[in-house]
Amino acid sequence: MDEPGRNPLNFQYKHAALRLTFVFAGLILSGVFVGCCFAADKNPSVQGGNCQGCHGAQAQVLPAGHVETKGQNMDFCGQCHQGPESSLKGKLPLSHSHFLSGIHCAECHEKIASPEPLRTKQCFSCHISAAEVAKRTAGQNPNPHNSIHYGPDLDCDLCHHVHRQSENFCNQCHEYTFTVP
Amino acid sequence: MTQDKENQSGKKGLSRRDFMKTTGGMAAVAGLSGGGLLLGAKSAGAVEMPKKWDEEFDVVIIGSGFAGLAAAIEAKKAGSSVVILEKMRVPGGNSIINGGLIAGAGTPLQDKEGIKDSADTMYQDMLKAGLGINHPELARIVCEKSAETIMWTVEDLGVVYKERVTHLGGHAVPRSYYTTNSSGAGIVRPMLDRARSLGLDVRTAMYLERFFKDEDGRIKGVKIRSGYVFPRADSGKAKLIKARKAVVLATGGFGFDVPFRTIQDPRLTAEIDCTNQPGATADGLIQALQTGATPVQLSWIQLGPWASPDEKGMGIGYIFAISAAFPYGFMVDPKTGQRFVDELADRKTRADAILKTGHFAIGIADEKGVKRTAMLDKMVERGIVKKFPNLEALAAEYDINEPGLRETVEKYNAYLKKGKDDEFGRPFQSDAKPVENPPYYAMRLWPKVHHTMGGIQIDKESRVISMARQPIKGLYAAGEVCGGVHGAVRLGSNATVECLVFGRIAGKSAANQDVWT
Ligand SMILES: Cc1cc2nc3c(=O)[nH]c(=O)nc-3n(C[C@H](O)[C@H](O)[C@H](O)COP(=O)(O)OP(=O)(O)OC[C@H]3O[C@@H](n4cnc5c(N)ncnc54)[C@H](O)[C@@H]3O)c2cc1C
Repeated sequence: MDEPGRNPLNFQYKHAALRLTFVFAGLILSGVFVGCCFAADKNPSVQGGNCQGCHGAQAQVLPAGHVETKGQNMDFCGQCHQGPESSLKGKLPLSHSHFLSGIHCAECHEKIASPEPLRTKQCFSCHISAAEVAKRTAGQNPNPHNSIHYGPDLDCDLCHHVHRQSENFCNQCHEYTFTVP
Repeated sequence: MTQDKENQSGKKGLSRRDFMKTTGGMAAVAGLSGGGLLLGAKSAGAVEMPKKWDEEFDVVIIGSGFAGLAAAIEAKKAGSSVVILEKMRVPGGNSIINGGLIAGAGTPLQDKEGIKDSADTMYQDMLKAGLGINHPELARIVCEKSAETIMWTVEDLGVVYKERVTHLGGHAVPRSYYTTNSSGAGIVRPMLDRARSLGLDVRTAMYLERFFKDEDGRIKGVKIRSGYVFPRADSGKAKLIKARKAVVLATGGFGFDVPFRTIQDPRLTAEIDCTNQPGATADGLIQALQTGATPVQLSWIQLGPWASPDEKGMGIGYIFAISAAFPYGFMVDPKTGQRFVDELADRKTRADAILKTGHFAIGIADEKGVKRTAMLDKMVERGIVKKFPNLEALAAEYDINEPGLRETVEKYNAYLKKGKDDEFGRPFQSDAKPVENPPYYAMRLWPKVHHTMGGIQIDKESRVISMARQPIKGLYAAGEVCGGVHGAVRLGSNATVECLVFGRIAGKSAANQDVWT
């Protein structure tokens, strides 16, 4: 199921022409973020860091003075957004991190005009398998990808949402504070 | 009702279809219950049969907790084709989040520890807690099959339990097996594996919308909403599934269903939290009632008196209550600073007493009292349990009447010394010490809805009984959706065993049913 050219768990941000990126934290902080996939399907080739490509030419989605993001990718963002203070994990919507990693609408949705919900199997075409994902968070206690209740069997989108705020399924009953990207 | 007479099938009998179409939820239940009594069994709740079904199976199982999975495994092993339909996105219902305790009388672990026990002793315990309103023949089956059912989980499913049996409140002797991971998942996951090895997967996001009951009174299939998104009743696509032999209803309790539970017990409003999974709602039960099943003791709803209002759901605070405050300390009403109930009475007595005060109770223990309390640090860290250098500080934090509290401490220590609780008759633990050693620990207590003892009526073969006192052909039920086994109060660890015992019976009975043509 692996697709050649993509490194599932450590995305290789191929289109990486590094420049900048405080952008998306800014989007969130300023509360301006809206899901961009629908806008982007008008222009599915828009690059991840090109805010205006989805949000419109007038949109001021980043804090004033933020470095230019056009043409950038996730690796570039990570150069500044490191550590607990400024990490984008859980702040940057998954649609944006996917875009910034070169994963565009059409790579997940067959029909981008009327996009269908994804099945977990499709996520694994990049993220390999439940077992691999569980390995990645093995250091976490409890490991959300291998809980005593559901093991590695939960669907990704019970927690991870690409077009809206992600949530913590465990917290239906528990009160864990770990970040859900 | 005129519309009914003109229903397309043109048959006499009574079609409820239009009635159901225009009436929702509770109103429909009320109307149909009355109608069922007047009209007799055969046609009550009958609807027009679909001309074409989308899929068909011998046995259609609704719900994927202990009861549904046990039924599925048995029906499949008996050679039937089986499908398991679950409305939530995850399998397991309350079973997969449960505490992992299961009661059995006369088990190998008891033998090993020299504990004398019998099905009859267990039965007496159930009746005593249940205030004698248990359906005797159902309770007895659970007790008689309890030990063999635990052995089935070990030998057939590969469930692993801790080395010792646990002694829970209301049981005459220690008889509860405890999964090694302290969760019902320790049983459900092996059940899911077993089902998978038989070629059965749980189909999730499949919501039972209603039964198809034919004019001859037999349940012949179900209407499902496939791709259902809880709790949106209109989500998903309609799908008609034919049940050649039978449908097994295993949709669990309705603890999380605020509107339905407040009808049964108006005190249980949204103000009162719940330990259950969000999908523990009454919709499966309501469908059974709509189709003519007899309701049993629906208003007996169990609250956990050990619950903390300072965390969600079951949480961890209950551990301080059951291992420190209740056995080695006490519980007071902050308004008076006085105790108000035997802290070791059954769950119902204690929960009712707290509710009656109208506000949180405070559970208190001292340094000696928390000796056996696991996870105390975690509870303190999360503010569920608080730690105080002296009683003044404790009283100030919870706004407790301080002179009242001092008097309570004196009285309690005096009762303990003479070995007799003059006020509430609470038994003292042999190793209990006077409450006088700081630091003191305390938590707020406010009951949470935990279990629904009531449900629909079944017989010893798990057949659903109609209000005309006849089995509804083609419909079986098992688990918390049924009523009668526990009467007024369920004892800890008795639900798991009940659900497995009757789930297995339902699966075998359903597989034995003749195929309709
Ligand atoms: C936190 C907690 C701890 C507990 N601990 C213990 C314990 O240690 N020992 C013990 O004996 N008991 C315990 N209990 C009680 C026990 O777990 C339950 O009584 C038992 O799990 C019920 O099993 P069941 O199979 O009847 O229902 P469930 O396991 O609840 O399964 C019913 C399933 O049916 C599904 N469903 C409902 N309606 C529909 C519909 N319309 N269409 C399709 N599917 C539907 C539900 O989503 C659910 O998944 C505990 C309960 C809770 C909540």
